Amino acid sequence: MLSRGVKRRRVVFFLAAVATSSLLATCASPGPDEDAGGDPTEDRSGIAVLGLTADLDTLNPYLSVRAATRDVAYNIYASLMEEQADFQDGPPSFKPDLAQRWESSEDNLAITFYLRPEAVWSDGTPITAEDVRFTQEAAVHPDVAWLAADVKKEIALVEVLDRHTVRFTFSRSYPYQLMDANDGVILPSHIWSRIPYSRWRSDGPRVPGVVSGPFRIRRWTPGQSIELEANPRYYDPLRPRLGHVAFRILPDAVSGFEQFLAGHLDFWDRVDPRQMERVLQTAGVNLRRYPDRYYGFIGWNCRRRLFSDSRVRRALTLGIDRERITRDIFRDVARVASGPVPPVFGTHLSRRQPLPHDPGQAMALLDAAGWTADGASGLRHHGGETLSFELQVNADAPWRRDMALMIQEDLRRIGVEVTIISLERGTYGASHRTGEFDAYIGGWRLPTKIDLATTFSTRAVRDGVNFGGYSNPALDEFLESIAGAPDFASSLPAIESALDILQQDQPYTFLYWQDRLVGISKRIQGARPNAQSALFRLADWSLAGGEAAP
Amino acid sequence: MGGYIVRRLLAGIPLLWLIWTLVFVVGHLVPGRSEDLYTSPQISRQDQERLNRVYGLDRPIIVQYTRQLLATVRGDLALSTSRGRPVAEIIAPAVGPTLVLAGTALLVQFTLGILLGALAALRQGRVLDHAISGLALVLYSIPVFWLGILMVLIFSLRLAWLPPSHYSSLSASTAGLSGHLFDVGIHMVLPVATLTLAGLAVVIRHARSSLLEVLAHENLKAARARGLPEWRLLFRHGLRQAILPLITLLGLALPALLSGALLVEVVFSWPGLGQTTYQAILARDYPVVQAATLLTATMVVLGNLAADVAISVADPRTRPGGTAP
Repeated sequence: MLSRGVKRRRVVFFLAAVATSSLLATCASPGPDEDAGGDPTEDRSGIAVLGLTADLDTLNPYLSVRAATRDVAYNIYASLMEEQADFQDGPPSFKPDLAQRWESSEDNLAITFYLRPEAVWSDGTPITAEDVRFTQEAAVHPDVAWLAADVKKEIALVEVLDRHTVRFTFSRSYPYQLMDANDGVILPSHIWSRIPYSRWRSDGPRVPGVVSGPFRIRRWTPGQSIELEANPRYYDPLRPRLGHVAFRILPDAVSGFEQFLAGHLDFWDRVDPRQMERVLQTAGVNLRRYPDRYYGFIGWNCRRRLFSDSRVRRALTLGIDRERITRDIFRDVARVASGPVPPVFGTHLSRRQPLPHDPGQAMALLDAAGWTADGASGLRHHGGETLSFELQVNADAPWRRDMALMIQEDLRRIGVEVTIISLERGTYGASHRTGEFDAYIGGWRLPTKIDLATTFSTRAVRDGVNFGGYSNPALDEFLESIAGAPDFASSLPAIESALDILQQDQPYTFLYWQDRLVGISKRIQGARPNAQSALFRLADWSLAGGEAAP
Repeated sequence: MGGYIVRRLLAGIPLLWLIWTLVFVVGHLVPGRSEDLYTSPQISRQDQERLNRVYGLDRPIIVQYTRQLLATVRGDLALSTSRGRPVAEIIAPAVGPTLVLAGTALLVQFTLGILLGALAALRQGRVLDHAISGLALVLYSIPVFWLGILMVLIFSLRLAWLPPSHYSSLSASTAGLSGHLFDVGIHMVLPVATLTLAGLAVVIRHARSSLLEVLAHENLKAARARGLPEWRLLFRHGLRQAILPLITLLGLALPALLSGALLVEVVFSWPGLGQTTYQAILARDYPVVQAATLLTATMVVLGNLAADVAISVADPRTRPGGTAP
């Protein structure tokens, strides 16, 4: 029989043991020097801490659906070439990466890449042409189901010519062959070929993290952080200049921004134009601005009778004061868009004047289309129908709600009634896919090539993102001509003509081209965020004062 | 008692199946699919459909339901449609942080709640009683996410006393075991305080009313008349008798605590089940939502069973087939 005191002590001991073991359960592996006394305060010396709004989904970019994975993957895996940010006025240029040189065949149907013989994987295995062939095979395999597999559709054959030479043969010649061959990183075949493609997702997490890029994974704590460290076997001994990079995951953008201002982060690429002033007033941080591959628009559902008439769509564009939107919502970090090709793709393509804010002309067009104003309500009617529609916005983008309110006010002045519908992101996306909408405010981030077909062609109603069902055979012809052009220069006239048709037809009201704002701590040197990537050439970044990695 | 526990556990199985089915049905009634979150001109419809085939999302709903149910029964929790990894790999690391957060908050909430409730009961009708009741009312009225944001703004971003998010510092892993534990500890302060304060009012009110009821019993009046000190009366006799309704409350508090943890985990970027579930709901990642809900429901069922067992131990009259002493 135990005494009451002993029983009590046992209960206390038990509770303490449970509490301690639970606490231990949450701790990631504490590292080899467990006996050292710990400094509980955050020590960031030698670490560049970058904010991410989403965790990685997987370390294999071919299985990923998240942009965050791409940002990290391109720093741990090397590609054949490094795509540059000079895609103004044509396809981007490339610098050598795993391929030290490349050459095109005379008929331009084949490109041969010569790999660096000195390049090895992080486990010491040489990087060979077989790795390239295997990766291309995986990229288009149905069981891998890579979401960007479409870019490889013109690659007919990938052949290993010798240990360090690989040839890509294309089904036709077109301006973006290099880009499509290069898209995606190279995977280690000696690791991933051991697993059937159908089991990549289930068995992938247990695959060793063998990489080829300037960094390798130091630690990935799901939901918390991804830490990279310099890959000592990277082919370029002078890179990376940072020894330790940590991506902190902060799903809440407001929280991330506040933590950046408070000095917890060295880099935050989600600075809202309305937050710009606060960044400029904060010591120790810089604000970088660059043109983005992005445009905002109102998508009209051309299947609806109201929007099937291009005069109505044009009138609605003319009735909206887009200058006010760029000024009041984007604080002039955006400009009124004239079409779907932002200035970052070349000024000559974006130099056509946007439609002006002209309520008089808008009303005349609506009158001509049969929508006449009712004296009492001021609203327009046609055949017993009122000129009114629902404008959808996604609730997680409050600036779109503000924009919708301005649009509602502008269009009311020309006799159009707009009801704003704010939807949760998934519901908003689903309504576009299923065509259950009148109009929505959206935005597209574009690849580094001009591709109007996936958005505006008749084919894209079925295969792409032409959710509004817009169709113009004349445009389709120009888009076919662009796709078939052997080089960029010869495709330019067709691009210009297509842009003219889009401006005339207004399947979208092109609202704005926005610049991107990035906050960077003054600790970071050498950062050159650009339209290619906010983390462009992360391997060249360094810490001020030569802070060493811990 | 053993038979009772087994019977209760068996009775929990249809309940869990019902919850699982309900989540599946509701999840598929909600508009939107995982692809609607990342639609882009860079992704062709064919590539999207190919990915849907890999996840079996192209199958009829009844086929998806049957396959997922069978897989769950086998303990194979399928693949996450938003992360391209097995669901188990996503859920498992999230359990520990949630248990630590909710468990610590539960401990602090009940300890503090009972103490404040006891103080209010001792000083019934006086200033302290009104102050505690007022505090409880204020805390009860504050939405938990707002409280969390307020905490971060004040204690992290303005005063810079405590970390604003996550459960450890980047440098913690090299700080040794004790340093790491301390680091996790200071990261827990704000989320635990938020979760504790959010549910504290209920415990205070229950503790106060239970104690007032017990203190009005004749035997305690007699003890007070014999000159027993008030604190001794309260802690030695009063609390012992008032503990039963509080144990019941403990069982009931678990679901509220776990749902509160969801919001707290989002505010503090705490990598627990709540955060995982929240992200999965937004991403229409039903396999993860179902697995997380199933796990949470299991915790609630087991928590309630534990509370019932604890009541049986504390008061043998409540045991199945038990009799009054």
